[in-house]
Amino acid sequence: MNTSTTAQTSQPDSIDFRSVVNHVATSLVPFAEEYVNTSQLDDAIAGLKRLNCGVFRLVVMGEIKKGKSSFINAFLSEPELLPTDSDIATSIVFKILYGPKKQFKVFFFDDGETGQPVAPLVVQPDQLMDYGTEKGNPNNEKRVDFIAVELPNPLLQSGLVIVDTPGVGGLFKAHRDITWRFAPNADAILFVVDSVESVMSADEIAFLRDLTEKFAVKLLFVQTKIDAASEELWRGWEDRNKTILKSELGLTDDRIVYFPVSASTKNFADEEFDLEELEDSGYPPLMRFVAQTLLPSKERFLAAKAAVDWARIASKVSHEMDIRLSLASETTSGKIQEIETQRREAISKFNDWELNIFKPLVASTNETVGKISRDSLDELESLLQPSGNLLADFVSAYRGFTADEMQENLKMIQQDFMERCAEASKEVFDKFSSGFENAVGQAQKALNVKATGDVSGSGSSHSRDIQFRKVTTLDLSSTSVFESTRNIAFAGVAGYYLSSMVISAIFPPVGALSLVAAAFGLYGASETGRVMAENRNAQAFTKLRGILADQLSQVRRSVVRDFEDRADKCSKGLNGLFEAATSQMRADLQRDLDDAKAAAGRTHAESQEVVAKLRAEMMLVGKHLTELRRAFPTMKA
Amino acid sequence: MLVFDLNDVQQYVKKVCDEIPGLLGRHSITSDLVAQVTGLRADIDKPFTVAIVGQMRVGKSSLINALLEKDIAITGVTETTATVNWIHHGTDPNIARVHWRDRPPETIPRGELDKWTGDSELAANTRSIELFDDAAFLKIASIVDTPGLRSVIAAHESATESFIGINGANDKNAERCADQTQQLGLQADAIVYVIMPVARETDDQFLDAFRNATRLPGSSNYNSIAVLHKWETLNTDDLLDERDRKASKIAASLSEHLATVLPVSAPLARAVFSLNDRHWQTILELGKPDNDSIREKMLRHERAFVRELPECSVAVAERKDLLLLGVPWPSLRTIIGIAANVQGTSINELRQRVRAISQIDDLKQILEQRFFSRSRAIKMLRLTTRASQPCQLAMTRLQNETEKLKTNLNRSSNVLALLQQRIELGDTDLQSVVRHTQESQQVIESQLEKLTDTLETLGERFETLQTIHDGCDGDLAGIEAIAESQLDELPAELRDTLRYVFGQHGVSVGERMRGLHRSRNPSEAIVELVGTLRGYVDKGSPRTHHTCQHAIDRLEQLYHHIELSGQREKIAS
Repeated sequence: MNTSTTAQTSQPDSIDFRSVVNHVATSLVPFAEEYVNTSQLDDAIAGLKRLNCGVFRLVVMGEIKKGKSSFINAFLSEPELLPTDSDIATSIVFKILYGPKKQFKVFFFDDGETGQPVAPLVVQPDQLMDYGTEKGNPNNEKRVDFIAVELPNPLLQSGLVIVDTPGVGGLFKAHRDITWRFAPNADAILFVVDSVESVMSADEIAFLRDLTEKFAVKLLFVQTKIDAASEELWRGWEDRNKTILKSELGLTDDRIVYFPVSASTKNFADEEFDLEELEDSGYPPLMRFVAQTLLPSKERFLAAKAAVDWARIASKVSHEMDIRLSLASETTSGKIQEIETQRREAISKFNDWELNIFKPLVASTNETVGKISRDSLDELESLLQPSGNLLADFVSAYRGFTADEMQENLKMIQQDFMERCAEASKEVFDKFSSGFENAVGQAQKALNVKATGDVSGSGSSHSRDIQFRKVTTLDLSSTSVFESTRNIAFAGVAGYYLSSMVISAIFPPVGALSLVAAAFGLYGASETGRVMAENRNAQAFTKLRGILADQLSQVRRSVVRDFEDRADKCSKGLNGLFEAATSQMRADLQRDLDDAKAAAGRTHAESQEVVAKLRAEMMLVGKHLTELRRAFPTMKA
Repeated sequence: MLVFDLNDVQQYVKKVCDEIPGLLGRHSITSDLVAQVTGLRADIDKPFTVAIVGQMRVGKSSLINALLEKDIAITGVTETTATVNWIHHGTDPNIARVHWRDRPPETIPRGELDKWTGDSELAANTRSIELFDDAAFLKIASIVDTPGLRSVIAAHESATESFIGINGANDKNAERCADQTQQLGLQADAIVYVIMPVARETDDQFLDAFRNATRLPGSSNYNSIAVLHKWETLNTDDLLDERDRKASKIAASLSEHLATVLPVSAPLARAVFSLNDRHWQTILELGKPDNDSIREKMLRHERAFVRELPECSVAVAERKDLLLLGVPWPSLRTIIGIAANVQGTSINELRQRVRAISQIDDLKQILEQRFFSRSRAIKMLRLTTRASQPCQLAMTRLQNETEKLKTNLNRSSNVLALLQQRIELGDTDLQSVVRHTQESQQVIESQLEKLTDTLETLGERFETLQTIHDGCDGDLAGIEAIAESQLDELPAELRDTLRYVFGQHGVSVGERMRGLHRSRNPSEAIVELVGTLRGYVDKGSPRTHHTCQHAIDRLEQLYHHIELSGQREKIAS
């Protein structure tokens, strides 16, 4: 069967990347603790941990009724694992991961009223419908966050986690937001299309375009239900879909990883141990791809990322050792004293710079960020004011409606209103986010210029190292600061999805509904006649307005609180970065001074010993660096 | 009586459309409304139009072919229909007429159209294509095949835009959808919305927009129905139950948009006329109990179907033959499943069974009942609504103007009286002023006369249009009420007669009269029927009351018509 793709990259060669990195890192840690600041070291260690725990999140997405859950069930040879229904089934995210025994655990959002965390609940397979489908848990009234499925399946043992998401494009708009929430943490996204409904639609392409613009993530495509179409047709659709992906998303042939499969054929093959059917199901090439290319690629990727961190640490360590060595090699006490004096000057110069340039810049950036936050907050508050235009404009559209119409459509009206609120807040969030990015960018630019201009160059022949240090350690020129502040603020999610998520989390959608319906019902059927009806309509309209106003003030409280949190996190995060940027330099300068003092107190023999030890250590670090570079040849020097 | 016979009505609306521009053009305050009416005039002679709409790949073209029992519309594997294709009544199915975007229309052999599919350049340069077939119902209505919604092909979007008369699409999908359908509502008299077993957000958006664009005062969703298609792909054991369940689910969730949702299978219907006896024999054989044990395995998918199976009594070559007939795999699978359920029958019985399950005849019947037989009335409703709108607007403006002129006239009369007094007192110099005032008064009077004249004519036309509109609306409501068994209080015979009166079997006077006892004098028959109906007007449900009242009004109109023509005959002889 010729369904394998052109995108399969070559087999990983024989180097065990993970152990290379682990080996180097273990040897470097003692030195790193002496020469490198703690946050840099912590980051590198966290990267190492990620590499060693080996989790790979494969997120399955697609439009409704494409057979996502059935696809996963067949993939794991567990036809009954996830609930599948002939109507729209999955409404909640399922995370399937390795566990010693099969178990379903439902995780909840914090309690809506008290804000207290709710303990997860272990449920039986037959209870899944009650939590994870639109039928059993309409509008997620049970406030389920996700359902974890533990399974003793060998496919999952290597750390593969499969995430099943609700389908998009159906009549339940909230499902799209749920699905989006899981995009940022995906190691790869498996997008599901089918062989029954149609080739890829403009809506699907728009969704994928959105996805690829926001998150740099590996994409895989699966075309399900090939058993339900003639071969001519499903192959025709496969070609057509690939053409569409090329022309609409600009994907190249080697980047389109595409597998046509049939879940029911796979299930049948599993049941009957029928190898011919297994081949026909299209699953084997996909499973080979996942096991041999996708999972190892993640390990290689993580290993490469860790290697960069540790190579940077090795360079830093060896650079610091070099400075110390040059000091230890100085023989005359006069020279040593001269160096000591220079280093004291450097420290005071740095202090001056910090006081006169850095701090004011930090202060003014903070002020700008504070102002942006306050402005946005004001805007948000007045926007979501129940007496404001948002509500008035919205509700006026229902003026001509009868009480019955209002009551019938209440749920929909409320949802519409929520969407309107989300959309309006989105603009404010967007504005804030771009204002914040701008402020950080400005600060970055100013610091970069000033750091090079003001701090560097003390002119002395021995200041070579210091000069070098000053420019490089104050590492605000790289984009990393920019990126990490933004991540602090938005966890990598774009503003709109964020604000609509906030809102859907705040609203246990339409919890007060039944009460409201009862309120409408108060005007009983005993009242008849046109005047009565009109009266009733008018009262219902007022009531509707009241309900929406209540809802709005709830939204306002929650959105405002959420915004305050985020704005606070942004400014704290920014200050943390500023702090980190200078603390390393201060530590380095201080150590230089201490070294000079120590050198002044040493005898010749002692100095010889220090020099010899340093040389040996430098050799070792250099060796490790070479080892890393050999294993990861693409790594920049 | 012209409000009764829709042939006359059509002539009348045409006449009004010809006349109104002249009337409105007489006054500067109404001349801007002329354009609205001239657009309408071109619409009158167009045949009743049923548009087949739905997302791509849902099988719109196949459905049309199944209705015509011929492969007229182009079908294929991916997004196929690239242009708006009109199917008109005609005798030569081997030609097609291409309406280009940038040059005069051209007639080409039908076979050439294969080049127009997908995102070909030819398709992008084409505004629409006309195809011809001699199916009887095309005499009443033209069918429009549209490119699927949700396609990524830009040309398909612009093809649909062109059909509905807008250029430069908006990027926002929902907005564009609304625009399209608003315009579609002005061109299509009715739609058949083809839908997959699970409704999508986009279906809802489209139907909502179409409803808003075509909803007429006091009338319901008589102009949109849905076909649930591709249900054979549902993967379930109780396929027929499941499809009906899906249909009622969609009907429930989209009830405000759709008059009815009917599951249909175009491939099954097509199989009935395209497979020969030998093929049916093979299918019957495959359905036999001997093959029970392996049938499940064989029907798993297409490749399993043509595998070597020693246990199977049908040879591989014969099975392969079945795959070459253009019946899609899920449909073939369904047909064999049907064969297994109707064991011991003949080929013809199996054919009949498949045809019945395809429900194509039910669709024809619904189209006939809902659209074709009422096409004139539906169309008249739309035309009269659109024609009365500018009339009404013009009348309001003209009335305001009349009031203004009358006030002026009053004022000048007062002035004249004062002047006369002065002159009588000997102020003879004022003679010239009086003359001038009198002249102005004459001008205003003649203007007023013109206004009153226009207003009178417009008022008369407007009223007639309203009467026609209400008459058609009442007819449609009556037919609907009878069909929905809401008038079961009336004897069946009376209901049959009313169907005729309401124009279900034809809208001319003769056709409406056919339900009455023809042996007697028509006038007497009418009088008697009115008498019977009066008996029901004041008892029974409001619906019965309403319908009988409408029937009486109609019969009175009919009576006048007959009397009038009788007198005419007398005078002539």
